[in-house]
Amino acid sequence: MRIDVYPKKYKTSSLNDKDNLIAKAHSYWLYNLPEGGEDFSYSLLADAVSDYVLGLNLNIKDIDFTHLIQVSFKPGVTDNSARSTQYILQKKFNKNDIEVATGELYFLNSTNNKEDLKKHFGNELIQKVEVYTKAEVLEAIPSPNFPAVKLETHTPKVIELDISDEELENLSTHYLWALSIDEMKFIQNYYMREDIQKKREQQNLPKWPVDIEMEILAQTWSEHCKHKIFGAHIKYSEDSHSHTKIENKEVKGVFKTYIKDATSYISNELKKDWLISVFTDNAGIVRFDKDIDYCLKVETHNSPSALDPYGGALTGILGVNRDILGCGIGAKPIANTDVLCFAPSDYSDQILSKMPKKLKHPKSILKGVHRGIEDGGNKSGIPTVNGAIMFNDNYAGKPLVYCGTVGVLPQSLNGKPTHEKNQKPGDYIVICGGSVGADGIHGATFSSLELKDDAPSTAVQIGDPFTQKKLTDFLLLARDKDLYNSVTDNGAGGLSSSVGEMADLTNGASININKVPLKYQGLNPFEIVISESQERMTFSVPAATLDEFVNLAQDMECNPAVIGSFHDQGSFDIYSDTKLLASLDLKLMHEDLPAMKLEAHFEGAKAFTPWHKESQDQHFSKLSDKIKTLMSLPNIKSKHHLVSQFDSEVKAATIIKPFVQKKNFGPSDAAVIWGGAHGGSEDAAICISSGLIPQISHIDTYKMTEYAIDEAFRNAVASGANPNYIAFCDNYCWPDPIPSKKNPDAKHKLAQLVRSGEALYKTALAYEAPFISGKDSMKNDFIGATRDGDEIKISVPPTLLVTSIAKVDHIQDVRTTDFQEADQLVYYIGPSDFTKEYYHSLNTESLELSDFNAIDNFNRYKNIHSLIQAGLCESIHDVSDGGIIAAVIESCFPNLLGFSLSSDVLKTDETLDAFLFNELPGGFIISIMPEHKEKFESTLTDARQIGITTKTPDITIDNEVLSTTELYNLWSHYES
Amino acid sequence: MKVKALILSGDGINCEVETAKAFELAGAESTIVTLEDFLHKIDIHEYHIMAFPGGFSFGDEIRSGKILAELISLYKSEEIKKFIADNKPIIGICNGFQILTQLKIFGNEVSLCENTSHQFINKWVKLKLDVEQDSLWFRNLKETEFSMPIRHKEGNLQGDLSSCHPALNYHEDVNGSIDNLAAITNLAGNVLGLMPHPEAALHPFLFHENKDNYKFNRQLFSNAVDYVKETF
Repeated sequence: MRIDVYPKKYKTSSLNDKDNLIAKAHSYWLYNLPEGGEDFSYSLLADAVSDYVLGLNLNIKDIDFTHLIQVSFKPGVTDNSARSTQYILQKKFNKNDIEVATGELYFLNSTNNKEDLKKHFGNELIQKVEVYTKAEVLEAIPSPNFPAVKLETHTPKVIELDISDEELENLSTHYLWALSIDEMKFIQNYYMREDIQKKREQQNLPKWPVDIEMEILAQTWSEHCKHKIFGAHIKYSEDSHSHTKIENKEVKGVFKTYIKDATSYISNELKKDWLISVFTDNAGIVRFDKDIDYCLKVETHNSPSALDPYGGALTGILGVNRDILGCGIGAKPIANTDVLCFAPSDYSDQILSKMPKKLKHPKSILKGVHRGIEDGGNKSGIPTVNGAIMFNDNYAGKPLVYCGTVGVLPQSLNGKPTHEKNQKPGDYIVICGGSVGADGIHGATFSSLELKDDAPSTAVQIGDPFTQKKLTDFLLLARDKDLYNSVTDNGAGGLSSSVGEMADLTNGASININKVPLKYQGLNPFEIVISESQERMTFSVPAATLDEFVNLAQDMECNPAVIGSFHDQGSFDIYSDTKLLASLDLKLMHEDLPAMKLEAHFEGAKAFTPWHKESQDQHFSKLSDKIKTLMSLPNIKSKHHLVSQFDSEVKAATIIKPFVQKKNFGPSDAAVIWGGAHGGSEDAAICISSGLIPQISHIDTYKMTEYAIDEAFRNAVASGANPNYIAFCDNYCWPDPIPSKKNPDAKHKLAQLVRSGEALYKTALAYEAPFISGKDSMKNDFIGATRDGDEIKISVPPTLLVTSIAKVDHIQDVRTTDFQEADQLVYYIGPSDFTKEYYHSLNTESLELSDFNAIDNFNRYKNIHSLIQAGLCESIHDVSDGGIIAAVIESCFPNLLGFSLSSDVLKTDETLDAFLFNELPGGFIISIMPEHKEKFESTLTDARQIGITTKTPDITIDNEVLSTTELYNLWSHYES
Repeated sequence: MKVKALILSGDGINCEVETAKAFELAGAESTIVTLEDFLHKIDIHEYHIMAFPGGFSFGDEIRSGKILAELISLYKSEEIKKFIADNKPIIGICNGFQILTQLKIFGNEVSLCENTSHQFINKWVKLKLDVEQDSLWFRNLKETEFSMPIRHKEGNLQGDLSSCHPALNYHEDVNGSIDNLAAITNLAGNVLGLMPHPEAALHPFLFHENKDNYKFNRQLFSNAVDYVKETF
């Protein structure tokens, strides 16, 4: 039977000029209900107070609408609502064959035609969208078919490799393996070896690899898993240009040379004894507390978010949560961060008409990703504490979705340190959580390719936060009861990666694919091994606790399956019951392939070119117009209306929340999380902040990297963190730096990567702050056709996100950005080079960048921290987008105060514009009580008093007066 | 005597740890119990206080609190009725309030509907205590201005409120609730349901302003614990 639940009250909303949404209703299709099950189903699904049931107590003809859009899921796609509804109906009627599907009905008044309407609802990759006129549904709304997923059963296919190079390349493309010709030839040669052929004959395996083996190699060797570009040997050269010179050189791996070596140096030479685990586990671990350790991991989920913004963001968050669950012996996720890079939401019709057909409207990407973050964080009970939204035209081809998670581990448990994994040969391999389906096949290899028009729908998945929450509850309980030896998550590459990686520690594993729980029958054996179906963890369980482990997992409905065991025979063996289907030498899987040899050449600063090539001129006559425009810019405006839909306070530990809330809302520089809520010291906290400055990448990624690291570091210091206890996570999202016909400027993009690495190394050392974890995503390009049929390539600006985790010694050190009261002294503390006109927000064409002195900055930060600890600072806000004036205005918002500044404070060579709007890094706006003036100025000799706070809520600059309230309204205004 | 508080957890409930701590801070002994154990294994009458914490039980599917309430109705309905009739304190916070509402404890036609904005809201709110409210939860809290965060999408209280007492009102319309209601009790006053999260506002450093107000939120929990000590 079908039940359509229609809301009694619904706030009608205008979707655009042509469409008015009258109401959104929910449809349920129930199968195999017992006799008399209808009444309970009505009362279950429709609320007496708020809902009608269509056809029962509301006739569709009485609804005022022109069109009805019915959206339902395609077969095999995760339907969380159906799963929960089916669960309660099966319990109620004690009948396990009851099945449920769900969908949504949108009632519209529209002057659009059916075809146009269809485009605006659902996602055709995963959903069926049907549009009806009112006349067509008066009798009944037609139900879609829900065919059961039926796949043909396959046996492993032998992949013959005695073929030409061209055929090898075609084979890799055909199967979406993303293996290069060198890698294909390496595999070809391996299987031609006499010793290998002899061994395979003994094992009764075919001479050439079977598809399972090729698929596993493709997964483990994918750029996504192996980071080949970060390991490549690069010959770097540069044009003579005005920015920092780094000289021609050969770089033997960007990761090793810059990121890893910076951490080694800081760890060894500077004796940072709080680094517990770096770059080896699923997340980096630091010791900022006497009882607990913190871990941090940030991932990206760009390609999935481009295809299905909601599912992509949701699975991104749940995925990085699992990295934390799989860190050490299993950490508890305590906070999420989300940094998002999108194209502007307000494109004109003219620009939209140039957009490639297959690309989604930037606004729909924002909305989908936003909803994914809302569900991903809120439903998991993990607060979303920090993040940013960055708008730039060239994210139109691929949005960047960075998802980070902080976790906490007791330092030891059951007498063992928690950061070590202890699997042993003989341990059973047990998987828990969701079942395996065809969704999520080839995610890892797919994200290692550029986005094209014809993306496979199996690369798209919808996450299930409910199943993962149950898995989390179980994992932490089993951990505390000492029921397993080791755990890791099933992410990219599925079992092939999780078991493959764990097998490396015991030197072998074997699994029986017939023991893996499936969503439906008929999956190809290789699909079972590489499917990235979500919400699964892989455990290594000793024989002694196997029964207890499995019983607990069953009790907590976590779907345990013993699929094999670890051994020490040097291979990863895949069986169908007793028949060996495939066997891979672990040495081959984790082979250090010969490093790629690449060339990089830096051509100097380049003007920024948006993909649509339209320029936007801005002209201002008055200072006040400039300031008003500034506060309304998408990258400066408040994101409160979006962020307030994320739960930032669950777990009751968020000391600094994303926004300060008093009379008005004001931005925070970072998140601060109380350790006492998580088993740590009652008086201590940690700070999480981020830095991201892609708007200057076209000028120089060297500066972009310095600025990004500084921003993350400075935000932490501003919030009260101890500058001697700060660690970073790096996330590189780059346009493809591998040369090809389609990619003529690859050498420059690779040079931008080398320059970023150089700056990262130097800045990390100067700030004495190590990197503990990171990830890179190197194919952030879109290649497709415009509406006119022209080929177009849109590449993201080189984008480095730096996330910091820092120690806050005492809760009383915590500071927020808001001016507290009137008549307080306001200082600018920071670099004083205001002569270069670098103010990107208002002058996007400027190619000038300020010099960056990391040593000076670090000393300043240490001094400021000592003043915070001495209780001399009332508020602190970092100077970033919009310069000094934006920081001051934002500080006035929460308590609705004013500020007055006279140009007398300028030095002779400074202009008012350059002083107010300069976005050079390293600076703060600090307010203090007048009585602390002397002490403050004597400690911070470069502090410049620039004004005082006023009770009258006006921003006064010489003779120009702007109302704080008016600016607040501009800053916080949004269109839904 | 040791006051024993039962804190429900599992199946999408998220706030069990901070809710357990809230009662411990008030001097009770908190036991976090999974839904499976709650429905099939334990004797709830060994406890004095029962708490339904916030979260997203069963992913908030169908409507928030609905599926968990149906499970309780299936297996534990009479037990809950007895617990209430024994005059023991029950608190439902956010999703817990939604569960209690779906259990029809506040009347057959009371519902927490979607916020008028159709959006999830996380913000701090100020709350006034209803002048006629004399529930055990609010002893010595007359004239108090509470502040604590709300974090919900379905907190719009609607329906026939004749079988419950108003308890807390928002200072402004945040979600469309009748009379800006944020909390209600049953007529006996021992069952409290509220959308805001007092368990997330028990320490001064978690407040944006008026930091001393944390004491009132603590008293909410200690009122229940003290009442049990006096009564049982």
